[in-house]
Amino acid sequence: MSDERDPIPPTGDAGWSPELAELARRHEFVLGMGGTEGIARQHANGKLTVRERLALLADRNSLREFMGLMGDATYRDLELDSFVPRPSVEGFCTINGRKVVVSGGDFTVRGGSGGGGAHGGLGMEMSANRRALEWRVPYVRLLDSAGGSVRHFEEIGRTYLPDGNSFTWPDVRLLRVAPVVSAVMGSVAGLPAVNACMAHFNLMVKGTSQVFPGGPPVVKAALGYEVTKEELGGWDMHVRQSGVIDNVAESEEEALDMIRTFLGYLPQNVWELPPRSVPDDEPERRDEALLSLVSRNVRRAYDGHRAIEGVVDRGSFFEIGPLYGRARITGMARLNGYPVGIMANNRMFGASTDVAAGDKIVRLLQLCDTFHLPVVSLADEPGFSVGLEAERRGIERAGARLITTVCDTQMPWVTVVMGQLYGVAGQCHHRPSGMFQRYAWPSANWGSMHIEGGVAAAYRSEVANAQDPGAKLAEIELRLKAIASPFRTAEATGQDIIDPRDTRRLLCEFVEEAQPVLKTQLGPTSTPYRP
Amino acid sequence: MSSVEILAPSAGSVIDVFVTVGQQVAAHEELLVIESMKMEIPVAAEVAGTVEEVLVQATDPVNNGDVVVRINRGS
Repeated sequence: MSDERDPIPPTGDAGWSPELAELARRHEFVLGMGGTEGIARQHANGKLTVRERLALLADRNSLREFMGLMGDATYRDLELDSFVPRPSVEGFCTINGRKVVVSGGDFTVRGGSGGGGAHGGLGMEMSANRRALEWRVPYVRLLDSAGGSVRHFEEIGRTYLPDGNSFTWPDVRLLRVAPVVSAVMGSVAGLPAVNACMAHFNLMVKGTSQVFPGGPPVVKAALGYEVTKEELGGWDMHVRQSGVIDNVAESEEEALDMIRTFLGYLPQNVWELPPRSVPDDEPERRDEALLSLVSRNVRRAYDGHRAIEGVVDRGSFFEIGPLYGRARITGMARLNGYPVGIMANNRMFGASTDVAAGDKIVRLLQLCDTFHLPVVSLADEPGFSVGLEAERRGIERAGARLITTVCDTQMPWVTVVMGQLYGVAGQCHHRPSGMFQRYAWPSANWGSMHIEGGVAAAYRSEVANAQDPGAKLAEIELRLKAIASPFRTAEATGQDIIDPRDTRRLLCEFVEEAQPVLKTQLGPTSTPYRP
Repeated sequence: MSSVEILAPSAGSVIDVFVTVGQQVAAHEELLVIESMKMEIPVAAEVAGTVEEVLVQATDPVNNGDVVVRINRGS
């Protein structure tokens, strides 16, 4: 008995060849995007077309488009005459062999703006964000569209209620399910501008991309002043000043590369562990430079990046938000091949946690908690920023948000106290629950507040009543500093103090020990990711 | 022959300059110190070479990204 049967002989096309020819013709229109003129304009503006971008982002031949036949057709004698595709290209593709959903705005079609007569309604196929959510795969947006246009009102002969949340809700849910990246690839306004932030990581391209809810003409109408789109929403505004966008790329190619790199640290969804790379650096490596990094002079700055480089796998650090909230460095790295989130205070920028740095920390902690990455904190924390500017920006509420986020997370966490650890900001390098480990270097010093300044407040009358108040102050400070040695703390609390050069080995061991713990934490976290 | 610009890493004022024109410096050698937000921020040579130009002196204010020293890497 055999299952082998003769193959069914080919029987011709049964008369369907005209339809196949029409399908091919429609595909041709779709590949032509907004036409040669629109494509030429896109190139003249220093931008790639959406299809060129997808070719760079996706693995070769991996793009599987969906809803690719949507658009505006005209007919002559019931025959297709012309066709303009919708202003976006969407589909599944693979990035480094892993499936993602990608959605790319096509600026060559009506400036990427909505439009398109009477589409939608019953029978509408599932949107890209829904598919990423239901398939539980990462979602990449290549944003290049101007949002809604009042021209659309004229096309449909009415206005409409702005119920965009009807199709935005999957974007909210998706942040708790799978990694999302937004890349701003052009001037982006309206909902696409906000979608730039509905992501775990976002980036823009220097000079050719801008973000704003309303552009210069809208600003002029509302507020009466002239501003260029670059001044209003360019990289300097958003990567340096507002923190709305994490990273800036020098070119579109670099931007697409950054997306691939970022996704490489994360799992496909919250039910999986982040992928381990083949380790390419010795876990036992001792970086001698770590020994001299922290000076005895607390005012002496050093670059916090140096501390990170000294402990993580060589070349594995990917910084997030490098130009914003620079007192704290945040990013992703690998330890013995395992992805981790890592942060370090940066004395080059004062090191103290301000509102901007606090925002970055909250987002890193949420990211790690959501996608099950251990967190490493390299602490040299003078405390929260003080002064008028810090008050104006609301440093206390930022502190409350930070404490709440720290205490709500559950991923394994290791802190290395390299230098200072003071005040409530110092408290935020510690979590009292779950798998938490802390090491201190011999250069560490800590307290609920600094001895300098603290003495004047706590010993006011003694100092004031002394014959020589200045000498009294100095005497008390000296007395207190003598007991500030970390070894005195270790005697009482068991705090482990290590040779800085052993840091990498201990962090690699911690991350290895964290793996079985992370496995027990798979699935959605109790505190949802907030953008 | 190539000249490398050393930039101020943040805004502040120059406290001390350790090098003069014509001096040989090693890579990572400290060139000057800037005070910013009460921190002393060292500015080091990114490359070894000869100091070609020193554009600041002690007490000068600097902005983030200002060129403070030019180093000639030699031929």
